[in-house]
Amino acid sequence: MFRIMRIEVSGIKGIKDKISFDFENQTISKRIFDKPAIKAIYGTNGSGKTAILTAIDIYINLCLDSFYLLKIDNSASLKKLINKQTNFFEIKVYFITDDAVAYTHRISINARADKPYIEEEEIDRIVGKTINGENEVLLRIKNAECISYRDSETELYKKTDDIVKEAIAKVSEYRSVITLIGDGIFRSKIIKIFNPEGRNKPLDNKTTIAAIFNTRILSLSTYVYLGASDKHKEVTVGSFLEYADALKSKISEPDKVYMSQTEIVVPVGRIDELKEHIQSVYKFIRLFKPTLKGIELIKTQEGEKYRCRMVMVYPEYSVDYEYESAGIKNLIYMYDCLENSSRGGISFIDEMDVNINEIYLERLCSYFMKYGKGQLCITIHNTAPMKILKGGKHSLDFINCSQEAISWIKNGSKSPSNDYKDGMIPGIPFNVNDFDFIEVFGES
Amino acid sequence: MLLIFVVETTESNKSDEMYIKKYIRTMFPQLIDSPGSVVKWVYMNGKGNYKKNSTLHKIEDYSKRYLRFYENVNDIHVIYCVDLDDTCQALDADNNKRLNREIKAFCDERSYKFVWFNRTIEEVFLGKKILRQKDKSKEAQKYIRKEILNIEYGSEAYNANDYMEGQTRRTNLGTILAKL
Repeated sequence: MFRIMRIEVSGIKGIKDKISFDFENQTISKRIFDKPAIKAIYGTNGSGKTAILTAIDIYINLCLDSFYLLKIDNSASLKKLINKQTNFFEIKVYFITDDAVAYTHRISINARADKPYIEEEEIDRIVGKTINGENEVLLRIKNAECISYRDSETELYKKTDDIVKEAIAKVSEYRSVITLIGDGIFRSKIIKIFNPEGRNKPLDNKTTIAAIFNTRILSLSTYVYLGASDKHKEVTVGSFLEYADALKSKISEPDKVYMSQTEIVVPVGRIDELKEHIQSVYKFIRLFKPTLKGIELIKTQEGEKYRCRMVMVYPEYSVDYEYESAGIKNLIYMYDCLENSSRGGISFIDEMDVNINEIYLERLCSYFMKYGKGQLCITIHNTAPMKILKGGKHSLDFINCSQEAISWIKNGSKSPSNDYKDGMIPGIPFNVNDFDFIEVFGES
Repeated sequence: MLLIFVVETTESNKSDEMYIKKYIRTMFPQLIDSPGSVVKWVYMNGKGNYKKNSTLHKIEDYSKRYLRFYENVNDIHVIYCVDLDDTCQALDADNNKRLNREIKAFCDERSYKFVWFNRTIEEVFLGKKILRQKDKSKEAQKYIRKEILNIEYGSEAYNANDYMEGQTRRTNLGTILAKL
């Protein structure tokens, strides 16, 4: 399991300068995993909440998709998403493994050229006791040239160093080094060293190759749900099987499962797992809509894949998923993220309160505060969950009009909701009254 | 900066708030639009309640909560906004003048700003007296809908200094806001 400890982002949409979010206490310790982690980010419309999640979505895509920057659609959309003033996007993710080894991974994209490319990529291991402590550079690539690489000390790992260096030399500025793990030839070379007789030997987390693997698994275990309106790509990966595969074997790559607004595409051999998953989705939706009697899967085989449609079954009628209410569809879409967080993964959900009744929303947040095993980060407008979230450290953040992150600091019975609504959170004054709309809508 | 406007109206009426806010938005927009500027309103429900516990408690509550995040006490400005009137409810002219002086002295003592309207806020902004309470909000709503106002903003009428001797249709609102 992994936990993200901090994320720093700059140069995305309206966010020009660096904005930083802490998700955990700064001390590097296994104890981080003892408690659930939920963070809600509040802010006015256009303050940059979605921009942060978009940045994380780009980061995950860079780490998982070898061709992400080469695809014309992605390239064009990045040109639009990256801040127009800087034309330079950077994200740095601080994360920790359950062995209490902490890394940072930084990627910067230069969008000044016609086609955005990776200008720099760096993986460090944090050797100090806190995330602000000393770092050891494991790998640094600038303009596709490896300018720093930390060699391993043991013979076994030295063999991997040669393979990694050779592979890095062939990686262009349009591809993150993390995507190497998705390369079958690269992976089998590494497996031959570590698993010559099929043994499952754990990697030494202090090595460069382990850092690359761990960053890849972090990416696989991190889901981002931007909501239908903010999709900047055609297909959404509803990859509930991916992370399970990744956990089973740290060096095997999973079969992909795609879920779009209309269908789920699954390899033939995994249809039973999908059915099991749909049954869990049904249990979840039933909590919101008790009249739902089931979710049927209508499947059509196409070679090695099934194309499946979901049909929602009610006592008197059935509705194709596509024509289900926006609220239920949104919940189904979010389910993968919520499930991922509940079992130990990391999920980011944009505007989680859209289409969710406030009472359900509060109870869902309360579940993650009390029982969640992973990390859940949501952006939200509804203030009702604040009274639950105010109890946690790093559970409540605000983005203000100057695009600064403000963390709520617990203070006795003080109500974040009142302070927020009364404009006391720095940079979010809410100097708007009901009568201000008279000037807009009132008769002249 | 925290601006606490203490106004005479009730929370449901808000007519004073409408005039003052329209004026600020036109003449000193940075005071409303700047992300670092928090504008709060405290309703006295009559100027006679200027030092009532509920009024003072609200001022204190906003100030304390603001200081939890901002720390600089000099950034807090409490601005009492009061109609000078001829007479006030049960008060005759002399007692009304005495009450005005008391409020002014109270503000001076606490370093609060004292904004006066001669004789009433409606006379300053509308040029006429509004007698019935229920008409006050309606008239204020009509006023804030107007793009062009019947009195030129920023004129001398809004920048008077001597509150007791000032002519009618005058206020020191502009003078006070310009110093913030």
